[in-house]
Amino acid sequence: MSTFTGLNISRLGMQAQQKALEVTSHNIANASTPGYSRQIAHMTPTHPLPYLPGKGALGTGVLVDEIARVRDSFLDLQIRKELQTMGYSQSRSEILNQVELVFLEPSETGVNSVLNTFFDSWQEVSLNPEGSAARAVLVQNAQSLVNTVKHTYEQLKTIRADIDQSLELKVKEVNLLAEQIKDLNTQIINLVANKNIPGDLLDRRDLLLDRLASIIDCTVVETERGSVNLYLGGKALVYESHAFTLTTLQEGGDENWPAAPQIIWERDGSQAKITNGEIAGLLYTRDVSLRKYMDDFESLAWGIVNTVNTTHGQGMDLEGNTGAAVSSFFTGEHLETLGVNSAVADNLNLIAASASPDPLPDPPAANPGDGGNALRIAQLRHAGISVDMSQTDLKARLTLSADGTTTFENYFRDNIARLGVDSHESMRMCENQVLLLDMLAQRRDSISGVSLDEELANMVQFQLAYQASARMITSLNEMYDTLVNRMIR
Amino acid sequence: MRVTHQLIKNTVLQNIQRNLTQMSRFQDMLSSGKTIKKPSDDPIKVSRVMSYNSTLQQNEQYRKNIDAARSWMETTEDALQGMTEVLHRVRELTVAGASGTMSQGARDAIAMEVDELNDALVNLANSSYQGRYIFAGFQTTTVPFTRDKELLLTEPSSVVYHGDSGGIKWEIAPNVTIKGNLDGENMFMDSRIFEYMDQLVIGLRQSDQDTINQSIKNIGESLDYVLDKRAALGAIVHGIEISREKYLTERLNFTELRSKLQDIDLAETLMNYNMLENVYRASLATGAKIMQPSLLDFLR
Repeated sequence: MSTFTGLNISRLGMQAQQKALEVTSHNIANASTPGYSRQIAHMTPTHPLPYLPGKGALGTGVLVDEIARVRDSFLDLQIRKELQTMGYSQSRSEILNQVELVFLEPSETGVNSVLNTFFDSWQEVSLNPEGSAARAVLVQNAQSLVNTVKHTYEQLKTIRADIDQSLELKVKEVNLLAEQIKDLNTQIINLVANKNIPGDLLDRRDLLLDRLASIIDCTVVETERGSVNLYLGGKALVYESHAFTLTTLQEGGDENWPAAPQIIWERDGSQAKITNGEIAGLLYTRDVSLRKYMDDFESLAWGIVNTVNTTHGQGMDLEGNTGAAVSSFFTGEHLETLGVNSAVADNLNLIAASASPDPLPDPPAANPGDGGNALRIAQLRHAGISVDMSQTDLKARLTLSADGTTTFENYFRDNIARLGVDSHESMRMCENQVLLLDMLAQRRDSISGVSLDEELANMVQFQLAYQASARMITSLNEMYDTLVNRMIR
Repeated sequence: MRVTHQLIKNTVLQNIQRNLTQMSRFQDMLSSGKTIKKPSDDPIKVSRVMSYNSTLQQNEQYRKNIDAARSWMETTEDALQGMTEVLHRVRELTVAGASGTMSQGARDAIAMEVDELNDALVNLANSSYQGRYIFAGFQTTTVPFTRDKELLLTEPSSVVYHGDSGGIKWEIAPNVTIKGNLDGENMFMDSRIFEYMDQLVIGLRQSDQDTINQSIKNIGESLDYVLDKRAALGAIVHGIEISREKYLTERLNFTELRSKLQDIDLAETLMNYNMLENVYRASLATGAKIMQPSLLDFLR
């Protein structure tokens, strides 16, 4: 035990309090930094010297042995899991919201209303089959129906293209984040190997992991070497200092659906198994939900076009044409080329409003006052339709059938109801997740957040302790002064 | 639980955001007057509103159909009434002409009047509604009856029918159609009205007592025939008028039902909005108060 042990103790005390003050000022400076976890200067007494045997030990001072990061990693795990589900619900509800706006029901300008007006115009023609006024209005309303159908379909296609673009962007983001995590891993591994624990780097990495969690559902595994390994669908995304990239590939189309970007691993071209997060939400909404809405809408359009054309072909027009000589009412092989037959639009007499007489007159003669076929077409509104979902050809899904279980209007209404329920459901999930995440974030903040009041109180405490240690040195100095300077002769 | 300033700030912001979202939803409802804007607001309600919309639009069309049918049938009724009057006059003349004390000159005069009345009948048979001939069957664009006295040399009647026997059908309710026209084939040719008139003229000119007596019976038959047709027509018109009334009542009912589903209760919504506004103000005020003071204010 040396004479100057006391001085050493006070020196250690001042240094420790100063270090603690620095940590406090670091906390205060980072009070608003996103993802920052507060740090604590952990002080322990240094190894004591033995005193009299069995009668205690002599303390030798204090040391800040660790600047610890206050973070609950289990909470982080929970938050990331919920972030995945939130990402999934959020991307889904955004898209479904857009689809709802496309259909714009209930309204006076939606498909439901335009379809009704179309059938009404056939009624008007049946009331006045000789004149051209009702026919002209019919052609106008038919054109209106076609335009509405085409426009709606185009907008749905735009939504699909938007999803594809979003996917590309999100895959890029995933690759970028993985790259950044890999870089941080490298730095942290180096520091840990030198027995340093870099709190701020760990914070940064955790922030990146949170962002990544909302996009894809990767499993996070922490190793002793300090790196964080990410696995996606069983395959490694980031392994210590290596990052593997994802990319998109157009594939998976069939006769009714064009090839769409799927997510694959760049290293071997196999498909990435993503089951949660924003990307999974986009993929499911595009390939299952949006596809169903588009297919159903398209089969409705073709159902109407085909039944109207067939019934039209069974009638007689004002020029006496019957059977195969009757022009078709709608033309077009694809939804994009659908339209009212231009021959009919130019010559309104070609609208087969009359019923085909039996036997056929020879030479062909028209029955101007007969609106029977127009009436039959108007009655298609209530006609029984049967839906055959096993049909892959969308044009043949909806057919007229005597024991059909639905009508065109009911079919459309059911689709809108289904869309409404899906959208409502995803919005509800989203709201729930927001509430859940808010609660978890509050808990995390409570544990890791910087409380200015606390830091300021600590600041006062450390300052006083520093002052006290300094005062101690003054006292000790006086003692040494007595010892060294006053103890002569 | 340890409370940090970040936590307080986040909580304050979340609550303000939540209040604003609610307020914005109510503001939307107030400005549009509708409780549902898109299917996800309430899928079942939306489905029913769509169904009411369709029914209302459809009923409107059926009402128009009924109006058109009624106008057509009113024109028919006018024509039939005219015919009844003509036939009454002809019967009067025939009875007079049948009297044995008539001179040939008088009989000739009667014959001429009957001939003119035949022309009048042909005109009535050629009645039209909005340019369409109502007694022509399906051939509504061609004049159904023409009279050519030359034909009497070979035919029993001078009137030729150019139309057909088509029945014009109109839909007045889902899958309920009515045949609203009387075709000329059935009305005039099968009933031989013109033939009877022509024969009467010939009989009068030739003073053929048998023919004249037969004609009295024939004209009587024709009168009955026309009256029958008028009665039947009247029944149909009455029927569709009842349907029309039904549609007007239905329109009121469905509009009311639809309004109950999709329109807002203005008083209730305004009240809710005001309440929310107060909550919003309170959250803003308390948020401001709680965020400001800290230990820093009190350390020298």
